[in-house]
Amino acid sequence: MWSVFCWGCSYTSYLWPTWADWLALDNPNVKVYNMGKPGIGNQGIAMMREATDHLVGRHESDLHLCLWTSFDRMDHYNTNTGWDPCVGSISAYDFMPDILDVLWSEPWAYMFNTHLITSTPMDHSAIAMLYDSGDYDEHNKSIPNFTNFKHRYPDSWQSVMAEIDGHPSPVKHWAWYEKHIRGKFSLTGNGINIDTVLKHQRKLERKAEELRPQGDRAIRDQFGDIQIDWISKYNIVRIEQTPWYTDNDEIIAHYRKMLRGHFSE
Amino acid sequence: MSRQFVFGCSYTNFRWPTWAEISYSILHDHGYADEFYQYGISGSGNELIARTVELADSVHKFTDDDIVIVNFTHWDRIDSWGLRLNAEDHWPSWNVGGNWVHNGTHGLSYKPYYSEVNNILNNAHWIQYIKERYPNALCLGQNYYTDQPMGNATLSAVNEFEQYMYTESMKISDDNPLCSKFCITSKLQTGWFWDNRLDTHPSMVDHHEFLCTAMYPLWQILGIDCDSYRGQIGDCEAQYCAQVAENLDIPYKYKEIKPRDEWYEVDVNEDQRALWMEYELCDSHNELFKQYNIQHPNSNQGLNLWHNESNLGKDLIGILKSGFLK
Repeated sequence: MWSVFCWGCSYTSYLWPTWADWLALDNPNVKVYNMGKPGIGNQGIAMMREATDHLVGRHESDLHLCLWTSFDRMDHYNTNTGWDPCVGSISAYDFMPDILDVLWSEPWAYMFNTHLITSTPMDHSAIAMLYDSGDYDEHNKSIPNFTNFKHRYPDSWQSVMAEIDGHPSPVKHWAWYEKHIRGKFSLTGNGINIDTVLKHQRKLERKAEELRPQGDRAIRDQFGDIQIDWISKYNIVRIEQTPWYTDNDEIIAHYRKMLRGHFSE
Repeated sequence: MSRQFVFGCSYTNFRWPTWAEISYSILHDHGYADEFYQYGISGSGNELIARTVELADSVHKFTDDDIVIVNFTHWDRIDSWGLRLNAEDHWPSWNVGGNWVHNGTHGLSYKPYYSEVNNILNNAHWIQYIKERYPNALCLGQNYYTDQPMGNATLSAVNEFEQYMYTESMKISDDNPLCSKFCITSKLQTGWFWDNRLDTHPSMVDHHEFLCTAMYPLWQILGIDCDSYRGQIGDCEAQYCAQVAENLDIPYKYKEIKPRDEWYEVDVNEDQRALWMEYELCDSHNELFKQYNIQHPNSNQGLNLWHNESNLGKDLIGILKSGFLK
């Protein structure tokens, strides 16, 4: 069995299935590790992917897929707490407020992110995608193999969830996966089809409607519970409790053991 | 036609000849280098050094005949690009303030956010990247780990991940037999400028010693006796120091380089030091360096890649398309 490591932000690992999760279900013969971390930037993605190569070794048949995130993030690894909590764009949170305007600038962000993306070996960083790119649209065109997640696949999710969460729906994730990944990189995929996706999405939509009177928080919380059950049911590997989040030695040891485990399979 | 490209910080490009100029002089003397491209940037960090290597490659198109030497700098520098320090030009540039503990750009404001592992991650990334992308480049480094991180120089490896990163970064150093003289050591610098508290950068003699050790494999392959240049370099430095002392009206008494304890009686006050910091007569010594057959500083035959008025600098997207996108 060969392995696929899926790297990215919340567009890779979220409260509901993403492209990485659909990839896992659609390719039961492949061990898929969802390495996504909500809020992380491209620096964290690239450097943790680099570190993982060294940390767990590298199998020739492994495939690393990076779903790059927006350029307006800035990652910082804190010695005591691991990666600083990220909530996305630097404009959206209080990140080094007193010196951010010195450390960060738009041209630098473009140079840095472009470097991170292009310096990741393309033989195993087979996809690169940018979303919500705003002013960077023109720049995106200069980066090879970029596909944008701004495709609009109208589905009922919009009316239910768009008001409280702008993340792509499970159907949109499937559509993107089907268009850009399925059938490529030796990922033939025939484990599931759009019916499976729609079925799960409708289940979530019904749940959202049911919870709507209780507020957005209730929807998020319960979606999280549903997702945990769902991941458990389908034996999807999500590596969220990793050095991304914690400096707990036990968890890190578990992370290494878990990743190393696949080499003996 | 063989070209020599050198990259680094002020340990590469400074007021007096460094290992870069001295090595070119020796190689040129033996017919191994014809053109000298000095791309060291004082105060730069390893990100900017790595980017300059990339940019120089995109402009000059490195070939197998070229000699490319990258002397990485301290790990506690933060390169940032912006308008703030160069607002008059209406064009952003790199803010190169040196080590963050004394960096005028962000300085101690960074203290609450300082993270050793963050430094390791970033620096290891850039160094490994250059070593992988340019396997023929000679990579040196005077200090592969942070120095004086707020007076706490020891790494607090609090978890396995950080221990791993620390080990990896040390491996870069250990794998590299060239990390010698300029690594962390109490015997870092000698010479008149150091002893007079005028400047803490390595003297020409220090640079030559570093050069002999760091590039030993190269000297061996080429059959060049680097040590034989010691007297020439020492004499040149002595004359240079004497000229500077005369120009600054600072007492100077030439004698052979000896342990610095013997030099402590030399008294230079803060005013004199300030005078040196503002001293801009370096070019006036070029004749002296020429007399000793040493390439003089600021003798770049290439382009000022990051200069504000450079078309390359203005055409940022053009740079990115030509240089950073493989």
